[in-house]
Amino acid sequence: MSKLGQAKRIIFLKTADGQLFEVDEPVAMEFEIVKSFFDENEDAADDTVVPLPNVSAEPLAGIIEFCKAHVEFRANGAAGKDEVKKFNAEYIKEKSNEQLKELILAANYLNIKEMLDFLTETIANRLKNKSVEYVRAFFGIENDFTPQEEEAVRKEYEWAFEGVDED
Amino acid sequence: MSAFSSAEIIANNEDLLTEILVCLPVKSLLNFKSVSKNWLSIITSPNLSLRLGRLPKPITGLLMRRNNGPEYNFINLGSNTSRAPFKSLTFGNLPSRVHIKQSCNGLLLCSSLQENARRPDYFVYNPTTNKYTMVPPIPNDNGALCRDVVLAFDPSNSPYYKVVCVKDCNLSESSFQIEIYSSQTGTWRVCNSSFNYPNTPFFMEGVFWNNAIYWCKSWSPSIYFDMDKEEVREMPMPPNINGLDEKWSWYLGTSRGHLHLIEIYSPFNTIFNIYEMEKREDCCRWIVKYQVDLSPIVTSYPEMIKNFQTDLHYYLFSTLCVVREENDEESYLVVHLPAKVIRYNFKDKSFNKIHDFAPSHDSEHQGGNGQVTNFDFVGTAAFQYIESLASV
Repeated sequence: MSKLGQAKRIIFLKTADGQLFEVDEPVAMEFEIVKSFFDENEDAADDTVVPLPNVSAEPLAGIIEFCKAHVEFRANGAAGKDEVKKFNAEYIKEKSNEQLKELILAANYLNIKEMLDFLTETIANRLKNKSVEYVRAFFGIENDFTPQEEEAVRKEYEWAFEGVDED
Repeated sequence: MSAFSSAEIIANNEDLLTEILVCLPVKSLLNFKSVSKNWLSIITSPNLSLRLGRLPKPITGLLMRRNNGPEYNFINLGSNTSRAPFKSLTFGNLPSRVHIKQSCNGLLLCSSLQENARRPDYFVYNPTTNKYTMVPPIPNDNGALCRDVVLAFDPSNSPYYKVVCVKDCNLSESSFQIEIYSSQTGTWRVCNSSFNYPNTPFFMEGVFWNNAIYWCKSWSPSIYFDMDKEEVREMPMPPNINGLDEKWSWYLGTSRGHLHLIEIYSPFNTIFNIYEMEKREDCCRWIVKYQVDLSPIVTSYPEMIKNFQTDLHYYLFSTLCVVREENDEESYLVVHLPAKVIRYNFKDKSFNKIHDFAPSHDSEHQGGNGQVTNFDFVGTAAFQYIESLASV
């Protein structure tokens, strides 16, 4: 599609908070939503800006970092190897729960399968063995059970509440 | 971005939430039923159990009946110390003891014989959710001898289960009839064809795998019942290189969607193969998956050695379970020695003790004195405990 043939194509993405990102084509094509934008608009000009009204700059920067690394891993035949695991572990280590939630929503909207699988597993790992109260706080969920109803649900699976981690 | 926090958006996105929930252990899911009404409905929905059924679940532990008593030993196999799902089984007001007959992908088939009853009652029980249901008796029971009752449950395929009963045909000897119960319809039906196997005196402990039920026997031909075609076929067996006709012991079981077979012809031997069933289209065959030599274990635990004649001895052990891990290099064999259970890793042939059986009162009666008796040997039947949300 590139007019210059050899030149690396750059895709322009615009976030909800008005920031413009320049992303290498193979990385941007990891986003299913961007890929289908160009599939549907085959004659889109090379400098077309793809609007991403549901993603803000901070999570997008994080997602580009992740996808860029994974595109490279695949190109180097390192997919599934230890260095990928190491990168993923480092990538997630510094992320707060709040950042993680922003990332998963953005990855869900952009429809990036590999990253979404990784993030759902990461969030599940952070919730595993936690208390019901922790989960409510994590997702901002209000308890809509009456005390009697909640007691009845808990009583049925009393054993599952044993050995729950401290919040 | 919006009036809602990202947390609330995730919590309200059922698809995204389901993707997170399927990654959680079953214990956490049961716990999180009390988060909110919406979570209760998502976690109890058939959609989630079907999604969970497609992911192979690890074997949390093994249940072994203690010296034919009502209590079960629990051998923990999980990475965390899991608690035994139960010590002994009682269902409602049933006066008689309930025993496990078979374990199948998270559900247990249990039986209980009531006083003066002609046949035992059968139950399908989910030990994780502690729910059970009675399988209705076969209608028009003509009293024919029942050879085996087997639970067929594959959560990756269907949330429903079947119970298969093999009975003698009244018409002639060594002719058999199969009847199938479906939890979807709640009814029994008779399979169209009866089948003949003149050299098949027993059906025991059928194993369900890949929509078929496999029966292994000590000497007569082994067979399987193909539930798609509803026909019984002879199962090809690995070559018998021992020259002995009758097996001393065998193991047939599943793990992570694989069917494994161990045949031990002689008790004077510690070397054996573990076979895996390979199925293609219309044929199946056994391939050697692992080769096992237990002699280093004998060196560490000489109580395995039983003197037979002055200069001949045999080895007291039983193979309880072949456990396949996601990474095959971590797969292992669970072996029962007198009074203990050992884990033997296929990759590096290392082994370690994972369970001690509490000394039974029976062994004290046997003259005890710290001597290992046959009574410390709990047996060969170990039922897999796999956490499951499946409804019964």
